[in-house]
Amino acid sequence: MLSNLEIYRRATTGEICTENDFDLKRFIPAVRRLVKKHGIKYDRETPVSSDDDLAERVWQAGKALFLEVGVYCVDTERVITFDSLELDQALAHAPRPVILGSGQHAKAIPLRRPESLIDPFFSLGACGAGVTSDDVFMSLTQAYCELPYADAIASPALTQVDGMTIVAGSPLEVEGCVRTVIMTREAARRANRSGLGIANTVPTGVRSQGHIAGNAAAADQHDMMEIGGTAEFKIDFDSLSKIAYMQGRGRTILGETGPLLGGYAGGPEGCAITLAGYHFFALLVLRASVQHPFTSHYQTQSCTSRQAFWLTSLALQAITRHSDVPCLGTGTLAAGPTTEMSLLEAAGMSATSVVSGGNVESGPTARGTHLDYLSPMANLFAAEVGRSVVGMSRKDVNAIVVQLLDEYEDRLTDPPPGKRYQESYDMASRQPKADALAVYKQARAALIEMGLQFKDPPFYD
Amino acid sequence: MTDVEASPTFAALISAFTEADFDQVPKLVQEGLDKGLPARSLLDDGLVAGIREVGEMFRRGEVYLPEMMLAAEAWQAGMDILEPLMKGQSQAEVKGKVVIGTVKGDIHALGKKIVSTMLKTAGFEVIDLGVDVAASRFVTAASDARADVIAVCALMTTTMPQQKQVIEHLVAAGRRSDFFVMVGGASTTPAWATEIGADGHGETAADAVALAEEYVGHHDRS
Repeated sequence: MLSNLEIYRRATTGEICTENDFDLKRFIPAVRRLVKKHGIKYDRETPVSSDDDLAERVWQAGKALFLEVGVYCVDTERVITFDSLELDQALAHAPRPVILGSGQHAKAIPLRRPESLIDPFFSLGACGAGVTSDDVFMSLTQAYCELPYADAIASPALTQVDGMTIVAGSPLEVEGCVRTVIMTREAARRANRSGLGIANTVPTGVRSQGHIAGNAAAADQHDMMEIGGTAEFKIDFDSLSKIAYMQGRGRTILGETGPLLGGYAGGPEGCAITLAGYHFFALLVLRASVQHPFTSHYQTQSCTSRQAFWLTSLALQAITRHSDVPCLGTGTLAAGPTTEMSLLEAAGMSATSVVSGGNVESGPTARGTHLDYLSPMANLFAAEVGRSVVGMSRKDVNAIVVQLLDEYEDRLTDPPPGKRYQESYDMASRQPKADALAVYKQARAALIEMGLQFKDPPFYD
Repeated sequence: MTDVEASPTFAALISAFTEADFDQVPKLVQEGLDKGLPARSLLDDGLVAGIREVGEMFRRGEVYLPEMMLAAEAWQAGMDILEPLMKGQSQAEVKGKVVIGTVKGDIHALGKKIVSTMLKTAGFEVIDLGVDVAASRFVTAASDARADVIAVCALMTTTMPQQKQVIEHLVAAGRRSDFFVMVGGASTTPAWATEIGADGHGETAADAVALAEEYVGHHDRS
């Protein structure tokens, strides 16, 4: 496979192109043409598709898109291009297997295909949503670590250091990133799971200096750093610097690939092929050993709409039919924590990912944008549902997901806010309060009513 | 030419926008001129009407950013034909000027692009400063352009504080009252806008356009 320095060389020697021309003359026309050429058509009745032929066409269109468009480097204003052999080599030579965590908590992220019978890997946590204080961070992160199905942890982001607001690119960001990793490790220790892997080590950080400092200070070789581009098929020197650091230390990268539904890729069809094409972006440019494919809607900012399920389901199937690099599916929920809607969203997202060949990184509630509006409950529920759909057909999961969408999709633009962690959980015991517990029981009953048979007993009594 | 004779041309122009047949736009403008239609009418009843309809379709979720960007390109291609013929006439009506950018330390461009494109299709002149923009650049760019509105974007909780910096730089320069300042981005809220002294908060791109329209509608640009 091409080296990361070869990617850098191409970023500095590739065809000169303005960013506007890359968008308007390369990316957008190619997406529109390939969607039409491969007959990709959104089907609102089937958010979880069982159409293998359609998944194959999404794969072919995505690969053709990446090959034709290439990758834009915003710092050099040049296009990095690849040939077909290089794409095939990337698929064949990507590093594997991926093991997160150490000691008794080490666990491999399994390679799963659509309708796989292998239990999925669960990365549970806030995925970088912010909290207001160290106290909330510690209690909440320990609560995530205590979830029985957590194979890795995705911590919240700090927003303060000693009462001062963290600003991206400032020294406080560096200090906040270092503290984030140290505190996450301490939370895992307190949960008696010291060796638990961290799936995204420094969500507090935006810029490379914070990411590198946090990893250098406290992450180990069994943790991952999540790195993404700046927009569809675009990269910058800051991200390439993070990659250079991680590659230089032999560390594992989680490739963040989340085209905006309604953005440059357009609607669900364009987004589906872009997400499939992003697999090559993840392998070749981000140097990822694991891909995190998701989409979020430009209006609802969530990953749980009907269109989002349809396109992520298809893209996951497309990727996992052809690649041995594992995927962590799913993303952000619209509803706030400890609301029934948030649990139903988590259920839909997890079920869609698992049956489509993905593993699960359950995301934050309240769009990940409101400080402290988090809880471990949606993550737990995502895992309970994800474990339970293993062995089910895509058709049967689709029937459940359609019922879930019927319950909540008209509220995606104005979801219930829920309560902050410290209001819905006891901070010391990390247990849900009575009203939150009632929501959990209601949601389990609702899923059973929809036809799901839970494999595990309820975690909360 | 009567209004009735002219209407098929305008309808075809609007349809070229709404049906995403953007290559037809400059051809239809030229055909309209060849038929003797006034440039002013082709602008107001064809190009402007067409691009505004695309903006409405975007608000309704019927089209997406690519169609908006291509519509803006097609509009410009039509304008390139009409402008030389309109010397001495008032040009396309500009609702107002907006300076927009993503704050220092934040390299996220996509949300800003959507807002910027929607503002253009709604009839605003937009000066896009890009991403990772220092607070002082918002002040100087808005002052130099005699802008009406400054739109300050930040995606992350750790880049939101830079929105406050823009307000503070405006105050320090003695220019705070000269501009309507609106903030937006995934993590921002109306409460945050109030806390930092901004004039408005747009949760969506459509909100941002509505805020800008409301402001310029109540303020005399002269």
